[in-house]
Amino acid sequence: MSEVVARQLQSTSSNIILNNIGGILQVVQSVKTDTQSISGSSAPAYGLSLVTGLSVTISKTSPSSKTLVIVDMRGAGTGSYNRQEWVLMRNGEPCFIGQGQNQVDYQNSAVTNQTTGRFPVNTDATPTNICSTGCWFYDTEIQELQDNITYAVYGGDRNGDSTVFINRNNQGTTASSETVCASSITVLEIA
Amino acid sequence: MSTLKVNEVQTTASKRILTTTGGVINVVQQKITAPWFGYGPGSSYVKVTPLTCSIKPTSTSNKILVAYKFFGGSTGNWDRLEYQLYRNGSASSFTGNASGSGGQATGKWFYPGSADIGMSQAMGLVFLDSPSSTSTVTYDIYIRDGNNDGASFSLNRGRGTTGTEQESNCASSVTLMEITA
Repeated sequence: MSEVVARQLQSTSSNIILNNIGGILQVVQSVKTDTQSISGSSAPAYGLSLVTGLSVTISKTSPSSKTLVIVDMRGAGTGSYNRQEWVLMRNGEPCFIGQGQNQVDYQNSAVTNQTTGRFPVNTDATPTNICSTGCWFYDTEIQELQDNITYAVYGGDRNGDSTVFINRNNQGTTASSETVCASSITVLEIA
Repeated sequence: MSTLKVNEVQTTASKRILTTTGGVINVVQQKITAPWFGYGPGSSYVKVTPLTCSIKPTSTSNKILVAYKFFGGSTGNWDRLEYQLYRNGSASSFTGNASGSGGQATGKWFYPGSADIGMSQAMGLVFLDSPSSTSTVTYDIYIRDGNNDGASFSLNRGRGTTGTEQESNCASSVTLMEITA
């Protein structure tokens, strides 16, 4: 194996083409093409359930590397649309959430309002509506980790009074008025 | 031109900053700023002409990270107004698994409710594609009104007019990154 040790690579015209930070070392992705329904009462963790298929594991090649996590998701809420939320998890713990008013009692899903995002509900629309949601998260807190890191999306209705739907609307999947969509989670290892 | 052939690049502190996989070796982007409105696609997929972008991979093993972010709205019977990623004029595999009479697509076009000046929600997709080609690869968004009941869509704007102080005209983009693999 050849090995070059340098801080920077430049082209012959002195343009920097590789720096000692910022380069992408690997890209992994998981795609979800099936549908899922999550009701509030069925959500076990943080008031949320795993969105199956939107989970991806990356094994960093260097302890100092960071990751860029991109969630791109389609979904819908229902009539009691308040608290229909989703959270980006790292190794089973929330890693990118808002500053809620009940931060201390995070494990009690009924009172915390910290989340990564919400499933948009358009109250003017009929139940066949679907919206897009997602996030870009640059994870800089994992420098001590080099083994497998798993990022996953969890979703649900966190006050337990309705259901959220992934890749589908809240009405169904088989009628001629309905569409089944696709979602993805992508992780880039950044030097 | 000088060419340096190596399998890996490390910093002087032995930090790996480039390997034979995962590197981004080309980025292209198409910016779309013109507003569209009033187009009814019908039941067959038709190309949303502005949302196109091409890249020429340098190796058949390399992958393309496809990232779309676009704004728009819809009107009429919008229930099956759905979009899908196409590569070189053919539907990609990035689509939902449908059964029965339901449509399958990458996403649905946004419906702004009953307000003509309703917000233009961001739509899009992120997909890691493996085109297995060194020829130019073109990605497009196609749209259809799956049950052909009269839906129409707008791009970069709501469904009202574009000249009032209540309207927002947005900007969309398609970004392609060639990833070594």
